[in-house]
Amino acid sequence: MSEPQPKIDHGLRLPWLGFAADYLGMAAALAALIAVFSLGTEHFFSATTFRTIANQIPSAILIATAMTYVLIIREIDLSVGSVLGWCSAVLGVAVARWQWPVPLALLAAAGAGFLCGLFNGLVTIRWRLPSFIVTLGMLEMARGAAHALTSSQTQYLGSAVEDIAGASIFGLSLPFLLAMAVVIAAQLVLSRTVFGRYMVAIGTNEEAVRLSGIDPRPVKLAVFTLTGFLVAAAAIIDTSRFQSANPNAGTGFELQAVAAAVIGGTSLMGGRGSVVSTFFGVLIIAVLNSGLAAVGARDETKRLVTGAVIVAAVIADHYRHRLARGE
Amino acid sequence: MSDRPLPIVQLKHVRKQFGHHEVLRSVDVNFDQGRITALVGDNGAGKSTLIKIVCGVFSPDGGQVIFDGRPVRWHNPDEARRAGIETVYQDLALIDTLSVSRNFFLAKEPCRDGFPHLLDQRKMDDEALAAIRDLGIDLQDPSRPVGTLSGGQRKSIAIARSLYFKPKLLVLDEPTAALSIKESRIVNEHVQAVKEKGISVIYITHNLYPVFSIADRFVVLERGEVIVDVERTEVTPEMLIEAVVTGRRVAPADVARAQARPAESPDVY
Repeated sequence: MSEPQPKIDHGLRLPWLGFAADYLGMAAALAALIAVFSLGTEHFFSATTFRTIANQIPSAILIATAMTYVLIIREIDLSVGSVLGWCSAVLGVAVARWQWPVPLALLAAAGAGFLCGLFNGLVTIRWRLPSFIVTLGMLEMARGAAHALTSSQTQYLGSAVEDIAGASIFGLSLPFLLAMAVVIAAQLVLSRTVFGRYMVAIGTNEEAVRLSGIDPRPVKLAVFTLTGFLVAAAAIIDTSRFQSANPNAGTGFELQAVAAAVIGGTSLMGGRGSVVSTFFGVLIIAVLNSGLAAVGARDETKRLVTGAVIVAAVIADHYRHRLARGE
Repeated sequence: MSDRPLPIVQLKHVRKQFGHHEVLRSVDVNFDQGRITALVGDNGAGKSTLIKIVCGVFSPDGGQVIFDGRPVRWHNPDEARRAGIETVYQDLALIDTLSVSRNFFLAKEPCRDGFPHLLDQRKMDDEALAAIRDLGIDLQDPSRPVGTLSGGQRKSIAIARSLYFKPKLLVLDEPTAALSIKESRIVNEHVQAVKEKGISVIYITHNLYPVFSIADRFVVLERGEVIVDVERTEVTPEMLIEAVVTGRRVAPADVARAQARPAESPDVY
């Protein structure tokens, strides 16, 4: 037997230092991007630019947060963009064509997203199918449903829902503040609750979780359903911001959300990820897009650069983790 | 034998098949209270299936499981754990990306009172560290991810975790597989320490040598049937190996020969 050892001294632990170290790299990358664009064009570094970016990204933040959860449990949801279009279509048609009261229409949109997430989760779990295939099916179904409901026509809502995205505090839109609150709550759930730890455990070794006596199915179902709900919230925000419901809304959002999560260090192999880092990932993509637009880059150049940044981020993350493991 | 301790687990005519393949054919066996029983057999003999029935992962297709004197039918591993059966699986059931302390309390996490219902990290760190050191394992930092530990450390931590919940029965599935000789010896010392605490142990292995010096009784499984069920004093490692390899039962003459040998078996690894 070994000698009795002193107990660990919690007073010497500096959790905030660890917290800062985790996100320092992301913050530095973001600051470097801002510095480069600020030097490249004189109009970029302004409160107006940052406020505009902040007010453009709430839906992306919500969807990327949900995608981070899904990736952590070693699944994927390819349907988030189409489900956004479907929820937006439900909201638009309910208000513009059926003349429903706005609260009821909002509830219908939220319910539409919730049901899509529930469907994805139930089918994936019940028949043990790859979520890649199930959500690919939902991607087509939701987009088809959005077009069918709207007869492929954009629904113009005028001022009926503008208050949602229009309200602001200190120049920041209510949706942005709401998205920030979701990020903080989601990170807290991920790192400090039993549910969050089970998500990480399921993504790392689902069989081990089952053998420990935990049923992984309710956790996975909750994550898919929550994703549907957050996508519906994103749809409401975007519909309000544009004051219209376009059946093509959200096209390509799934890949943007995966890109933001991956830039933030979330593993596509499951078991590793952080909502705060994903938030930085969304910011990096948004600043990159705004900055490139400010310096006059063409759309194809923006896509080229964004793609290169994603690959570079994954390579950097690979080395960061090898370093952390002492390899 | 009349002086055998009472069984902690009794299996009566237990059967299990997957598709058309019959993995267990009417298994009758008792595992003694407060002793180490080695469950030995070649790959595919049915050891893991039998143990997963005891631990609630599988339900038997027929027969009866009696645990601690009462018939049981677990619906999931959690029910078995709550009844006092802890298992260290071959693949360890540890989560590489979680810390030692969070693995320690996996599925039984302590939380702080009030809202929000957050994990009590301090309690997890303190109690995990104390339990790990109680077993003589030298670990400084319970917040270290399990994936960064050696194979021996991981198995030792998995055993310490099982003990923390004060089980009546500890099931070890191939605990020395893929370990060095030194690490195997340390793990076996932990297993003996478990027995000294009065906890019954089922030690599953296909390699007899690491377990021969510490087990009290041997059960050999071959193609889903118990072919040997003997005290350590009644066999030699060679006899057991022959039974495993050939599938032949141990003859009474062999038992008499084994009983004539010196009482203390060599420490063979």
